[in-house]
Amino acid sequence: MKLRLLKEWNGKEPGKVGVFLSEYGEQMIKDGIAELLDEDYVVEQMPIKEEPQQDPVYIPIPVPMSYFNDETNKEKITKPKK
Amino acid sequence: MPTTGIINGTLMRLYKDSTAIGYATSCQMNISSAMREILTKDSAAGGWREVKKGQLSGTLSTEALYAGPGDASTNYLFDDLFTDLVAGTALTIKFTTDVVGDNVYTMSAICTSLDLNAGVEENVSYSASFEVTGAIVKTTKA
Repeated sequence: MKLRLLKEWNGKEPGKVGVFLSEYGEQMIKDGIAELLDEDYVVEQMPIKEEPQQDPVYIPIPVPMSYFNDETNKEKITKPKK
Repeated sequence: MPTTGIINGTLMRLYKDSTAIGYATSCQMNISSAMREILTKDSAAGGWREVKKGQLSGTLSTEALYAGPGDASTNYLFDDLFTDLVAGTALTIKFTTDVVGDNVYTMSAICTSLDLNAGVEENVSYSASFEVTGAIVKTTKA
């Protein structure tokens, strides 16, 4: 369980947060040493390493010139009738 | 209620007394039994080695990210283990998920090595090894 210290404990100042075994943590709460933050919490938040983002790579694909024959024509799109 | 199925390794961690060893990324417990070789003039003939159980022993190790005195946590950190290693303190260690019904492995162990690693543009991390002194006791969390 995750607790926040309300009083000094083992040389650690009040306000510090830590993960404790539930039995021991419950006793700390009863003794007023700490307050409960999360009962089921087991793992602390790990620092996340920033991975460098790679820019997308555009690979030119060769096409025949005929592919561009209709480039200047307007596309014949008709609205569907309601 | 105990955890059903394969236990997620993230949840099983090492605790010093009842305080988690902080920022751990992996934890290992090794239990081994030494073997006594039984070699007599009677048994040597077949050419096959015979052994019997010898002394039991255990080790623990963990890998974790490093946080210094400025860290705002009460968890057991590298600096605490450093103090224990120098002093040769035997620590009460528990290896558990802290879930009711799951196993709790409790043992006394001495920190035998600490390796601190600091690579360029990497998290500072460390690994710690422990030698178990005495028995490893398996109980169920009530």
